Amino acid sequence: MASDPIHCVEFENAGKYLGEAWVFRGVDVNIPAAQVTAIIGASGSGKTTLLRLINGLYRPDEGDVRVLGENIPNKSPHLFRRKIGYAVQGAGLFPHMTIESNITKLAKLGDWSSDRIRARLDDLLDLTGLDADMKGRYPHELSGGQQHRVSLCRALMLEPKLLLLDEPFSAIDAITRNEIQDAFIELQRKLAFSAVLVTHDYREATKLAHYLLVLGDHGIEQHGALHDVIERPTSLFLRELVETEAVA
Amino acid sequence: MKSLVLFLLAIALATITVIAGCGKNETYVIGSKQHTESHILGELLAQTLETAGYSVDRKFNLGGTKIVFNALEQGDIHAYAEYSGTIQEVILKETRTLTLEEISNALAKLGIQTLEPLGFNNSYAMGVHEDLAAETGLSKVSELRDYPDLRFYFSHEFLEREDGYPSMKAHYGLPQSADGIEHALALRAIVAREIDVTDLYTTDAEIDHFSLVVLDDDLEFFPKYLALPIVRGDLPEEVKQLLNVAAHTLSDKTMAGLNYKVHIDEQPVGDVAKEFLATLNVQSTHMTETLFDKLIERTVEHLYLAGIALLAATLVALSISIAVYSISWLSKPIAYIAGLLQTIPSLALLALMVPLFGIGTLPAIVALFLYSLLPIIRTTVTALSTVDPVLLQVAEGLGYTRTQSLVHVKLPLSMPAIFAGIRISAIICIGTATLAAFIGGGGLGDLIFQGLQLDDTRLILIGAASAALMAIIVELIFEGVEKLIIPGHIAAANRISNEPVVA
Repeated sequence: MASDPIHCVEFENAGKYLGEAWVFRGVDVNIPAAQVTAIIGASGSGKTTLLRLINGLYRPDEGDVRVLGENIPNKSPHLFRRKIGYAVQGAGLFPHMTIESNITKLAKLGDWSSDRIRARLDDLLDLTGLDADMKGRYPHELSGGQQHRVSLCRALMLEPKLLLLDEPFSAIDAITRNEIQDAFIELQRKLAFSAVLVTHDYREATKLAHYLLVLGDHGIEQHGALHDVIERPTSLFLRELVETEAVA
Repeated sequence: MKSLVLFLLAIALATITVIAGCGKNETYVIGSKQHTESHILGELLAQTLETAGYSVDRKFNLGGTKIVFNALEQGDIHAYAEYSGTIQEVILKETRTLTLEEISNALAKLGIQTLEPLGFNNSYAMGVHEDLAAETGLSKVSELRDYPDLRFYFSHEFLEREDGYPSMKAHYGLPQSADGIEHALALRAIVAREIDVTDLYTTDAEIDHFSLVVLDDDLEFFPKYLALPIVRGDLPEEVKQLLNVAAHTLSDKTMAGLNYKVHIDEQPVGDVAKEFLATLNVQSTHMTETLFDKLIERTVEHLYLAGIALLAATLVALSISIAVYSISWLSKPIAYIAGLLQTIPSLALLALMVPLFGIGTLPAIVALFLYSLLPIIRTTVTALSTVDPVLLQVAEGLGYTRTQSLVHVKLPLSMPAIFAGIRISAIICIGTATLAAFIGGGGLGDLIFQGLQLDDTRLILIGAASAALMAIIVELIFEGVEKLIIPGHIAAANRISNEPVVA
């Protein structure tokens, strides 16, 4: 149970049973800290399921998952989740809350001082390139790109050591996506958080990630540092991706 | 979470208990049935007590015999004027004719005392229009046998009671079947020649006014209906003495005259009673309310009934919805039960409350409360269980607790639908509260029932229009409050999906 500064997430023979079948079994891998790890794989291979094992939205049916050096507690899992940022496809902002509330609500509920909240909010808006005068607006008044930046701010508000991103930039146009990906790289460099990113976009994975995790039909087919993995793709799925990309 | 639900339930219960407490006080409660003569006699009793310095609560227009007598038995009212024939047939369910002494002894066993008869006999009688009588030569009830095509319409009570039409039909061997109609409407319909035969009372003011002919009860079917006050036996002697004020002073003709003044001359009941009391050397202190006073008073009562019922229904429905929305095997049956309550006709639901809660404000509020539950439960459960699952997943993933997710995400997003439900319930409450007068709950329905009884269209219109106006104003207030507390885009997004529910 000792803290492991090298790894942010440790899967130990983890398996998840959903519906009436195993999504995957025997997942045995450590995810490096302070880096961006991308989970790629065919649809249905359980990328999102794997991600949800990390913040306890799902519990493993066999094996073990340790996050930031600890097992996910059964009691008050919400306190544990607050140490982990979370952002999903399409931003998922709460439409009835202003931008400020979307970002700071949990900090307020978690008894942060208002000075600390204000300082953190201003920092994040600044880091993600959002204007401070957007605070009072509602999500529907923002562009898709701005909404996704807000979603990142919300995920980072409580100063998490680990950020989970479930296809976060897949629902926006190519140009905006590119800008946000750049902003994300910048953010990660400055704040040095660990991030686990689920994506079906090979280019996004290679652009953002330092570490790659390839999920196949029954578990992990390959994992390793980005360059090692794409130089020597042993996974059939990955090999096809690499080849397609090379032709293009 | 649980404590929130319990808290809301406690408030609802407390509200109901406080209202229940309001029903008991030291004043004397005088009742009356839903017809002019009973109303006049009720006024006579009420004013006599008031003049002697007692305070009086009037529960007039209380529907039929069973409701009023029940109210007397349960102590919801202390006195009202009844008829010997009605006591024998409806209350004691005796087929043989009883003497006044026998009636008195039978009632005494129920804790009720008869006072001295007032003097007149208001028996049932068969009435036809004088033109019809002239055309056919009808003058006796037995002659109705020769005209099987005549249209018979009787008051509901006469249709159903032991000594009513079924017995009369058998006694006289009549071939005609009959339908029910409100007595005041029957008289109009008979003048318009839309119906041919209806039941009258021998003291009816309208007999002359509407040019009706009373058919001779040639086979002596109708029993005596001697009017007399009946009171709770535990009343102080002094009060009983006072209520005997009009003993043996009202002949058939005098009573018909009083009825005429109210019904045809449209004099206020209170004034007519006061004038008559003056002939008995009782100088009544009664001041007749102006129509405006009455309207204000009834409006306040109406708002009170609908407001308390709506408040309690909102608290209870929201608590229930929040407790069960995520449990589909539970939320479905609950919505089903609430829907079932809605299908009970409102008048029937009100009447059903009488045996449980007596008469007055409490049963009316309980009925309105039950009626208001469904729209709120249905919209709230639907709204809470259809919040975008992505948002709930995000909230959970970010570290919102279940309660925080409910309070900060689900409820705010469901507000427009919940509001729509409360709005519908408010309108239903205001509309249905007009029927509360039927069981002595007061409200604007009092004006409508009185208007119906006195054949006063103006009074009916004022009552109905005020209730409608109140509904419109409440609707506007809700709209304003909604604008204040719900961001415009959230309301707009919901309006589209809710339109059919509101319509």
